[in-house]
Amino acid sequence: MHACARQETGLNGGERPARFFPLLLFILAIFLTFIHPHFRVPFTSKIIHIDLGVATLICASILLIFSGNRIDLLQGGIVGIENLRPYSVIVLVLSLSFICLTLEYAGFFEFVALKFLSSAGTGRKLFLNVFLLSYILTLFTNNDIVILTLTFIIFHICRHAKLNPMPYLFLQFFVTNIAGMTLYIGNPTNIIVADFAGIDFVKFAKWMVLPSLVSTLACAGVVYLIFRRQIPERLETQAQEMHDVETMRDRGAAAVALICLSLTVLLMSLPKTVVRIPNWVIPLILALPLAVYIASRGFLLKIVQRIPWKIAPFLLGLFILVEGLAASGWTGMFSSVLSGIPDSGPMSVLLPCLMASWFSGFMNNHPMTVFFSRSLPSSWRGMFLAIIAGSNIGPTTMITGSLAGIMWSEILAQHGRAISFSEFSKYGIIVSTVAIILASFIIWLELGML
Amino acid sequence: MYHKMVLCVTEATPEEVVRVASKLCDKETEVIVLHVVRVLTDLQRREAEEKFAWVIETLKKEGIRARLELVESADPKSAIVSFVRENSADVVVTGTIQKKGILALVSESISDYLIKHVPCTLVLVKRPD
Repeated sequence: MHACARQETGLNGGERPARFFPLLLFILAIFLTFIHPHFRVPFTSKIIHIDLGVATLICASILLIFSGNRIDLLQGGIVGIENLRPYSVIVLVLSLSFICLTLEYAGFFEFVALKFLSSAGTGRKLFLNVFLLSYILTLFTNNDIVILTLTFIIFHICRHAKLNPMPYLFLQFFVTNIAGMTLYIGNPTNIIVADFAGIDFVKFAKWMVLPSLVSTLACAGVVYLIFRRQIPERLETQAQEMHDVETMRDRGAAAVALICLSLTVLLMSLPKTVVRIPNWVIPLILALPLAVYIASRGFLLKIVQRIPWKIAPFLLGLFILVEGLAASGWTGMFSSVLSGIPDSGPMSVLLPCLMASWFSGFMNNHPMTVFFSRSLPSSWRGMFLAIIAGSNIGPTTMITGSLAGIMWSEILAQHGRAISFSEFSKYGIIVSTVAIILASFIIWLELGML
Repeated sequence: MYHKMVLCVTEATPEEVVRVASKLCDKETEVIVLHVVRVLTDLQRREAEEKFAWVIETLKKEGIRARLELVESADPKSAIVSFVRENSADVVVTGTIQKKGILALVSESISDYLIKHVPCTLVLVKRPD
């Protein structure tokens, strides 16, 4: 069993209402993030939308106001907790999004996807190509953008080839989510957990490449088995005949963005004795020349408008709320629960991975990640790796596991392919269970060997 | 009758929506068939023109002036509202999909958003069960 080592700066244990207050606010924040209600401002016609960017911030503000001027909560939420610097996570996520959004807007993803997928002459080849493309694109870019681009291309190709798009859509959604665990930059949740645990870019890849590869391969195998009868031998229309050679919208911008992204990965993977700047500064610096370039091409504003700015207040609010949970002893209590998990054997990784995955489904992967990470001492490496795997696999268990999943379901509905929560989970639970077991087992093996 | 109508279409738009829209028009009505895409590449443009040709044809057969407009935005809901404001439309017609269960709780449909934000008459067309 793990020794529960973290010291919490708790509120007076006897003050039960004060103790439950941060927990209620945390639950309310998650609820509001999912429900995103509208409120009319009294005596005006103005409507306020409590969306992702506002929900956690409102709850965090209430916590700060009613917790008796706890500046340490604010400080912990913005400046940092142990190894983690929330502001650096936010800058890193936003600057990487900027580079990836430029690639998307320049038509890079669409161009690559069309070239790659239209060469398929059989249903099986198309299945294989969707798998490879989803995996490769997700390795170095933002999985949300890959999901959105590939969804459109899959609909396009399947429409022309008179195919049922669902096997390919499920495949790309599952693969892009699971493959997101490969690299440090693959998902904001990776950055949060890795920073908490002090795992750098190279170490992260060393631990996660193999579990990611094996579990995505297994996921593809399971999806194939589920949908094999809907994957035809031959395509009715040769995909290659569907369109002429498509050109990229802006080759120059795509090239500059690709160089920036490659340099980001390269510089992050070099030792800190060579690159003496923190990881979060690297994409920020590289995004600057890209911004100048695309400003000269006239679409800087379009990209800036697309940056998911709301993630900044969302994460800041979450960090403050979780600091409130830590101060009132909830993370310590959860840590005690986790300390009941065996500290050796495959279960030491499997159980936290399973918990992280299921909690992601119920509370979304970002809140789960911040809460779980804050509850563990940084010496519990296996558990941190399990949380990384769980936070990426979680959105494949339940569609509510990530906001991208909810957005994806809306796009499917707009294409006349609405899926229900239960229909998604019917496949998702099978795929994610296989992925969790394999990823956990490999992480456990690696912990014994590395 | 209305002077300027915005008819929002997606790949899931059923015939009923276009039929209802045409009933709300007279010869003076101008119909803008609006489709929002995330990135407006040549392929997306060609694809949309091909996919929504039937909508334009249906309306033109009824003697209604109609044209397709493609708007590029990562946020379709607010893009529709901005388009309606910029074009001073006096009616918006769109289909609505009844979501059930947990997804109905966690995802806000475009029609829910339009009810709250569109500054003119809004007609939601639900497909018969």
